[in-house]
Amino acid sequence: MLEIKNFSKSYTNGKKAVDNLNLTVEAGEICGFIGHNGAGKSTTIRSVVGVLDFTEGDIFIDGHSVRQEPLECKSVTAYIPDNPDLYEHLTGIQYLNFIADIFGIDESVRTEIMKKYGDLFEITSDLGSLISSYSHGMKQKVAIISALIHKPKLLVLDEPFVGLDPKAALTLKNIMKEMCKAGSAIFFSTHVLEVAQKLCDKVAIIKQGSIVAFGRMEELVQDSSLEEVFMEVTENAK
Amino acid sequence: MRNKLWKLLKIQFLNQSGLNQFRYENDKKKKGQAIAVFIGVMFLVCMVVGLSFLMGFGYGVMGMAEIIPGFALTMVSLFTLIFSFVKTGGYLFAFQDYDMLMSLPLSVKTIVTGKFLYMYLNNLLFSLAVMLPMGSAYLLSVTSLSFAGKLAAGLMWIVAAALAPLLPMTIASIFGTLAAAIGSKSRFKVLVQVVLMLIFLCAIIAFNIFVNTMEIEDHGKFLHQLEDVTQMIQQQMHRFYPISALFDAAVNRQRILPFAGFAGLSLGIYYCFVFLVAKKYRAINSALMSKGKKVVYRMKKQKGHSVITALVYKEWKRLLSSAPYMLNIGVGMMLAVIASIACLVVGKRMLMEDQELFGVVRDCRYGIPFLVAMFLTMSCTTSVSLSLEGKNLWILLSLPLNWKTILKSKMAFNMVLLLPAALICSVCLGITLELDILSFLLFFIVLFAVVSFSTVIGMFFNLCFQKYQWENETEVVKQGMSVTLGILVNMFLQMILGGVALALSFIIDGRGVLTGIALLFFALSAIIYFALLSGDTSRIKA
Repeated sequence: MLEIKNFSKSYTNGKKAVDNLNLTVEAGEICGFIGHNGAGKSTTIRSVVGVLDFTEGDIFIDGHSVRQEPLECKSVTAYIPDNPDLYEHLTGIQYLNFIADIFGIDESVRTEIMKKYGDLFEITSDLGSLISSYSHGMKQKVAIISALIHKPKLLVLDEPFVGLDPKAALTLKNIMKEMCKAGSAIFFSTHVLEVAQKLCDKVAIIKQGSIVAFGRMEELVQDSSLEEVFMEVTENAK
Repeated sequence: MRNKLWKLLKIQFLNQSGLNQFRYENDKKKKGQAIAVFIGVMFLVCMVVGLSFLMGFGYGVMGMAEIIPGFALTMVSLFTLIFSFVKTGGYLFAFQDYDMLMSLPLSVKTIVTGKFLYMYLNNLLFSLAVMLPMGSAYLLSVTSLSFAGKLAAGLMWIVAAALAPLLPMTIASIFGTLAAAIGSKSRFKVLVQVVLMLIFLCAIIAFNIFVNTMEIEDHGKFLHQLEDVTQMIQQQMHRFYPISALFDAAVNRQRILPFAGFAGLSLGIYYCFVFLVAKKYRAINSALMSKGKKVVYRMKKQKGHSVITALVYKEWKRLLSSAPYMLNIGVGMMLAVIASIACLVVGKRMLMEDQELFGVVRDCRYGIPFLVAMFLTMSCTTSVSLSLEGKNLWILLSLPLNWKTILKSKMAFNMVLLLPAALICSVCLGITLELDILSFLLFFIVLFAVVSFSTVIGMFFNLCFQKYQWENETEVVKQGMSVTLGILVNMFLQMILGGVALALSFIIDGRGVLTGIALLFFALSAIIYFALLSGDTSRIKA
């Protein structure tokens, strides 16, 4: 579902933020993406979802190139950024309808999805208020619902659990599992290694723009914990 | 406090001036933009300096050097008042770094002073660019002063140049604060603020018209009594801006007391304002940033819209959400509509009473659409709407939207906003000037063409100067290079074409002239439109 091939992203001064990154996430898989601050996680994620341009390598989503066929890729992808800067001048329901309009979602389908996830995240009653009045967690919930509205084949999340209350975090984890069962792929970055270890089928560890470990969770971790593996590979990697 | 205040000013300057972008930006394109903005500002400053000197020198050559001090001060004050007016909302109150600053060990007075002084520094450049050249022209022209007198006058000019923005800024801030305080109690905070500020702006214009009307009515008496045009102009300025009388007396008559009065008033009112605002600052900001009453929403069947409609609706909500945006971008359009309606209601009666005047106005009718267009094109959302996406840009970029669709929706919104206003203006002026149906249609078609042109040129400038990192919307809607260029280009074009249309209409049929100009604007708009949307690579750069 997601294939990143020889992807590099350089700053204008020539310094590489990400260098020759390769990874794949198949349909039905959850892939965690972990690394220190500034390692290149957000740069990679923002390139995957088409927010950042890149010149080296390519990224394929559902067989389409992000560079050559961006609209086809975006039609099947959903993105939730680390800081949900939504349109603060819209109400929650107006924002969700805006996203649904862009994806061309049928009126009855969108109503059903909004109701389902609004109730699950216990935010339906707040959807009539301006987003500017929401807390960080509430904005995050609206961002999540908007990402689910078109039933994406690939869900890309940057630090999705930051700001969510424990119940909402659990709800999100359950939704992620459900989506995988339905055949979607999920690629997300996190600093919460315990969550990544329990949730992910695959994990990619990035250090200074390069992948230092990538594989199936059980193969990488074996008898130890993801935290130990992370510390070991990031300290040993040049 | 001084040390902290200095640091606060420094950090605001580094954050908003573009200096850091110039020094540390690795992206050559962004660095180039910062340099282009700097060159643009310097060009504007040079223009203002040159024009001010020529204006002052002109008065000197005509033997009217004595009016220069009052004239310079009134000009600086009027412009500062109007330009500061819309800034107060987003600058002093409810700014993005409010929480951060209030959590630091800074006194409220330091924060208010810091914010106010930063506004002052922004206005100081304009004040210096007007006052110093006019002062130089005055010193070169005035013959009644000795060398020592000129030296003293020179010093007063320099001090006055530094003090000139203080009083109008304080007055604008007082009204801005009042509007913010009253608005903070309402559910429709932004709308109340905008309406109150517009009322204040209209009051200034009405006051100006009133003063000028008085002058016209008393014209003969004045000339007869004073027999001196210089004194008449001075008198008019003193009535409009009484502080200018103090500066006039200080410079022209070498009196220290009026100068002390001018300086004392400027500084005194400023200190009182800062003192009073500091007392209520937290309360006003808390109210402005309060989340309001919770509305319990019950899910009902949702309605779908086309992509363009959804994007245009988003733009509409964006406009309504921000007082600085509405005031800066909307003011031209609102003035055009208000003036056209006023022409219909008041002007028609006046013109009917004075057939000679009516004849003159009718003779000049083919220049009038460009006057309306000058105001209408001040309202150009496309010159800012892309930059205003700011931190929300990721939403548009991650959605399955072609970048061309995004640009089209922004242009469509500007047209949707301005065309009804253009129609209202055309109808009002058509009835007032008793135009035949063809001329009326041509009035509207010219406005349509001009609005189309301003829409595409605004989009072009915004694409050239995309700015998504900002703390305050004012940085985009007021100080942005794209908005400045958009207004200037449109204004100059309307002035030139209005003059051409007027001149040609005396030689050939004015309707033919309007048709030609409309076709020219449509052609230019089409060329720019297709150039903007050509190619596959997105022109929107995150």
